[in-house]
Amino acid sequence: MIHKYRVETIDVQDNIAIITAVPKRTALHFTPGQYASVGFMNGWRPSPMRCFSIIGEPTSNRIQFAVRIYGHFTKALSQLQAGDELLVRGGFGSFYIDKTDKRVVMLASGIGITPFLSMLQQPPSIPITLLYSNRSAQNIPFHDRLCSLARSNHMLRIGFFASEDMSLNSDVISGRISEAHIRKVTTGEYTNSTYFICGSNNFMDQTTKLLYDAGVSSDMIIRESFTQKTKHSSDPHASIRRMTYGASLATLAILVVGIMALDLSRSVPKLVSAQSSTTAAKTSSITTSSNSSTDSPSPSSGTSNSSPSTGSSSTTPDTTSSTSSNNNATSTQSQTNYQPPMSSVS
Amino acid sequence: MPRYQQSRHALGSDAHITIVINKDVDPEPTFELLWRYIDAFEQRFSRFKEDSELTLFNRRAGHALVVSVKFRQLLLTAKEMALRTDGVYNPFILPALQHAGYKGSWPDASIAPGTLNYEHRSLASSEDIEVKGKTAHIPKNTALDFGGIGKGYLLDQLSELLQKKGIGNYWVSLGGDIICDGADGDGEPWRIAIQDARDTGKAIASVVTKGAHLAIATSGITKRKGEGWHHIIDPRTNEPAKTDILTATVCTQSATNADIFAKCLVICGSRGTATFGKLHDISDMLLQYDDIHSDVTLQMGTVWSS
Repeated sequence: MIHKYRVETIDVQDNIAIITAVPKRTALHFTPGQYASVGFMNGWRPSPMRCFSIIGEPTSNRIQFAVRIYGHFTKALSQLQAGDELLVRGGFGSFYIDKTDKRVVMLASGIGITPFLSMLQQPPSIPITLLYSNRSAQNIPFHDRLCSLARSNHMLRIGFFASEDMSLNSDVISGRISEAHIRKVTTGEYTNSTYFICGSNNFMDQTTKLLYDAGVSSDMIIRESFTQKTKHSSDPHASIRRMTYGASLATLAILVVGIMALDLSRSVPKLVSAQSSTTAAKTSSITTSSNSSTDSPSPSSGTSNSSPSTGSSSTTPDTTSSTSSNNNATSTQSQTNYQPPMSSVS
Repeated sequence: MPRYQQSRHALGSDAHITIVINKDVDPEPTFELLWRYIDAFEQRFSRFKEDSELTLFNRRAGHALVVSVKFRQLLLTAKEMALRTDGVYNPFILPALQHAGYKGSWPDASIAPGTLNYEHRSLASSEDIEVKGKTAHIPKNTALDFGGIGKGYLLDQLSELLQKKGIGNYWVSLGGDIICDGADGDGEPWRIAIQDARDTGKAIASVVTKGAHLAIATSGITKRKGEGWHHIIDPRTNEPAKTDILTATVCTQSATNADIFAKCLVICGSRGTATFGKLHDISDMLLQYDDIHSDVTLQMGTVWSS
């Protein structure tokens, strides 16, 4: 079922458009972490539909998507005006926290943070650790929003990573999410955590491998592929429409060429007529094959479906610099075990 | 007032924090804050961590890189100290240090992960450190090490943190470098022992702080050493310093200065210490020589008790 929404606002910042819309009639039902396929009216025709994670709360009457702008479709989507119609179908996917999850570790890169935003909107009842990787420390999508969520909820811990430049923010860890970081979130208190991964294919493959290497079983790892396809529609109906248009055009072309050939054969002498009819037949055949090749339907592909896999145990603390504070530290008061100061070779 | 102490392993050595506060104040948040700060510092500046900011910076030597504010500040301080000491302190000695044998995190000095090995790189002058806006640059084929300045610099930062928290009676020790202020819980001045280089279980002298803010650092060639090498590199020869000083202890207001000056005194050797001390206005220092017959020189300012 397609739900019709009315665009309320579109905020574009750092090449990411946040689209907020209100339902015209019925609102979409979804679980935080799920995605929906989204389209819009392009004049009198509906556009193809693409899949995007929902970043708002299910309880809100509004629906929100975050879209990175880098293709014709996303550009057109970001240029919609308030009041324009949005077509939404969903929610899809099994990328959400289940009641059986005891502790959750979220691993995100870039715009792959979006499904987690929805999950984090409501105060979590179980401990959640988010490791969020980006190229630049200066351009972390939703950084302030995430910091605010972490400040207001002690169950949420966030570690920001910047892989390509050095961090200007003291709360950003330089480098990629490494084996050492994964080790921290796969042992100790993190045993039996569920791992959610969303980001580029490379990020997901590398992170999944690190988790496997750390001994996490595949059924504890839930992945959400996050590639916004630019050339293929996720909507199977769009391909059917294209096939219909193509077939109609081809039929029309054959008819026109046939009528032309008939006219030609009537208006010239017999001998010439015979020659011209042969030529017309050839032309017709060429045209037909040409049309059929150009109008062949393009395959449609859905974006962002997730395939749950494995996973198991887990670990430690904080991956942010806040880690360990009291590791191995022993607090003593006055008399007992007091170590007097001695300056020694450092 | 009660005195609280916590001890841990940090920065490759033992760390102790002692604070004196009212008994109705919980000391735990203060300890937690300080340990976090120390951990974050180690994570950022350790040359032994593959994901530290220093390692990432060294890997890309020759490129102008955006660095964190904290990194920039320490880099500028290191450059300033290198210029002040006329190159006797130099943060570019990492290749020589590794070449000498100090490769891995102490005490596993011989273990060096391949990616962190800069033995083949060369020494540069501190003047080659360029900091412009948010970026920093060092020459290609060089590598930095903040081992000579890190503990002292961190002690100054911790001291500032404690002062901001309104704690005026404390001492903090990072691997034997100490910063202290105020007095003991009974109002007695802190008495800080100076380790004997020949018998590490004993003190050769002690410093009485008399309630003043004071930093004490000891450097020497008796620790972090291997066969035929020790970890005090003379940048003028790019090799472990050939010196007749076993250990040098310096007392100053700044732990950064104390840490670096103590190393420089060791490098200068007995012939150069007087000049170096005068140039840098070091009023309190203790030198222990490798010659048992002229064992100790104690330049007394106001703080030494014996």
